[in-house]
Amino acid sequence: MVNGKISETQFVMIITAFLQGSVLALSFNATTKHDTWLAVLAGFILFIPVTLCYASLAKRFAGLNLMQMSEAILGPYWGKGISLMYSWFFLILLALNVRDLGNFYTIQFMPETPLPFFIIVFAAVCAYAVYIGIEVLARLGVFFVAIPFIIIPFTSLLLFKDMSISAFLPIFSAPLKEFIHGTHIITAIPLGETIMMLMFIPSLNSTERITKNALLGLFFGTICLLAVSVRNTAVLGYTEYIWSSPSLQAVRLIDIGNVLTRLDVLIGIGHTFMMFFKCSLLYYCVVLSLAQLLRLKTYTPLILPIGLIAITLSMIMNASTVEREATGDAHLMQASLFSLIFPPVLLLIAKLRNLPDKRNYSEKSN
Amino acid sequence: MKKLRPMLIIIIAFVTLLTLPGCWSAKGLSSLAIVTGIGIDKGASLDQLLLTIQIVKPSQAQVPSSEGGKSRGKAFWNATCAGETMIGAIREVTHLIGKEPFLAHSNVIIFGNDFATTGVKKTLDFFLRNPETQPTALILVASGRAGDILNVESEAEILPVQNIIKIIKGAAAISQFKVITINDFTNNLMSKTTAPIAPLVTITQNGNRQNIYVSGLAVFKKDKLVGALNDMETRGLLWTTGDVKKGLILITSPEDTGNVAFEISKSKSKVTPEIKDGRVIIHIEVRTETNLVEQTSADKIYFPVVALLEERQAEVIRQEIMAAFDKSAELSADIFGFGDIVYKNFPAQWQSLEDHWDEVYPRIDLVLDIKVTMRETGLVTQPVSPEK
Repeated sequence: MVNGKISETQFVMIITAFLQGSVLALSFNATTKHDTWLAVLAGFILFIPVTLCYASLAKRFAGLNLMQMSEAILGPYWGKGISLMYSWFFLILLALNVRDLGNFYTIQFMPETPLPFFIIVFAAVCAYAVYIGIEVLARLGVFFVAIPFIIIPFTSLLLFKDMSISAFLPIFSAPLKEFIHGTHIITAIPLGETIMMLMFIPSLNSTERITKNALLGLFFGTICLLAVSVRNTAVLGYTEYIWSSPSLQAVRLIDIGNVLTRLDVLIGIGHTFMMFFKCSLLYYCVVLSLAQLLRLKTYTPLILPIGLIAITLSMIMNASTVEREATGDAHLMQASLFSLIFPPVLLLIAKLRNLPDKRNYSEKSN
Repeated sequence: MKKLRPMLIIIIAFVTLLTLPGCWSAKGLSSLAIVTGIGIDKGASLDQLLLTIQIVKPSQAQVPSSEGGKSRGKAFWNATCAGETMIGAIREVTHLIGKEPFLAHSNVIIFGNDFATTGVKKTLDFFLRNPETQPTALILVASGRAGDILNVESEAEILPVQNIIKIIKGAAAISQFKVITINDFTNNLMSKTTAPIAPLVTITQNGNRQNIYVSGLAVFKKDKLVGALNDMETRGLLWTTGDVKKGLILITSPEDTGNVAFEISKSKSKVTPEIKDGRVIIHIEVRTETNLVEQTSADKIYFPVVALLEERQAEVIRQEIMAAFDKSAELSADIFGFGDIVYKNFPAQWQSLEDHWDEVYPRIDLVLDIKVTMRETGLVTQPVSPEK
């Protein structure tokens, strides 16, 4: 059913590009303000063991994806329950991200265009990407990863004269409670969403070096996250946390001799590319997981209905950006459950039940 | 099905071609009122804003042809609109000319003096929230009414706003004042203690002609205008912040028989705070390089007097910085951002200073360490005078 082969490099690129999807225009400066770079570092360090846990699951159950794993670990009923919840989680993530992109356009660039227009056009492209398959997406990953690695250094260079190191002082001024909150957001939302990597395990060429590759992808993604938060803080100073998109605001300040101005469009284009990649992967996760639950031979019949559900969900889930912000903490808890709590619990149960049973498993995979 | 496929693709391509190109919110040049500058004054009542909105007339703004552009009339129109909010007042333009105001090119925002003393914060939100306005728009404070400034026509430029932008950017290069954008202004406003500043613009009368003259800096406390720095005090501030790029230092010649002018070629500064026995001490280190560009006396500039010349220049800088500080202490407005510097370096002690920073600020001890290095002396090496 899953017919695709992803090389090791492509796997790293998928994780990096997926993380970069959250980076270019969105920002996590609101709670930790100028200490965000510290929160990113702390989040990265805290997330390493979680990644190790994902990799360990992938190694233990080589050839199985998250849905099959949970069924193998918890048995058919409980396993299906967890699988269904994960399908729901991926659907929510898809809807949230599609909505984010739509709002990004309506807030920053085209306030008069109706939101559904962006969402439908965007979702249609993602649907096509899912239709042609994960293998194509994986090949595209290499190209997509390059985009932020060009845009971020380029904009930082042009903004160099506007940066001031004193914006980072005094270090660690955020109250501990808020710092923990900020770190939690970084860990559970941009980094924790890499739980989706467990959906691709059967498509991988080999899972031998998956630990190293997953960490490498995480590392590259975090570097971008760090670079963006450092740039924004250094450039924007006191105002960094009032903007809906600090990155865009920072880049708007670029003014090189009255010629090179309004480069926010550059960020807009890059962000659209990266969100396309991220949303396509999430879309793929939703349809694949549901196809497996429903024991379908292929996931293609699900693409259209899931797309319609995701579009509708994204439109109705929040009435306004204010509501979105207010429900942020609820989503944080939900994301923590799926990305930080379930996987270690699954691994623990697998260890206790001594799974996978080697004999049983080799029969299955043949 | 196989045969239908190419047909289907062609149909889809046509449908997309017909529906997707073009922009949803496309705006033709003729339907827009392009706003280049906005002047904000106090209206009839306290809550009311009186805006002067400079709108370009695209047909008149073209480069005049050989028969001369004078007869063609003004290339701009200043609309005056009143309203409780910025957006409300700006929308009034549509009532007057039926076009939608387009703000992406509003590069200058001028606060009238009366309005600025009542507080400018309520108007900033509009400029930051609106996706059309640019965070790099310049902020100015008029010594009188902002609307009058936008009315002053210039010989050199077609639009008054273009003229103002040129003056600001040009004079900032010789360190007369600092270019302040909306972003800079907001950043200072959001700091706990730093007082926002903005260039001060006045109208000078020269016979029948009015001219724009930009000089000095307006000083705000929180968001209310409280005073102004003159040219000398302004440069005192710029020495400290490291914004002096070019400019002249004038001193008396070594034997006090005339003047010597120096051109600043390079200057940098370093500000270090210190807290000793509860007193705030600020160390300001300025390192400047200058070139001799003119002298009116016949004094010989030779090696033994270099140290004297350098010391006299340093004294000028010292006086300017002290003048700026004394003025800001008098206004008790922290234009230097010393509060921020102390907070960033001594976050623990800051707690006790924060509440009464206004009282602490005028009593700060400034320790100045200024060093001027003289580099070149131009094309002549000997005084221009008959041989003795």
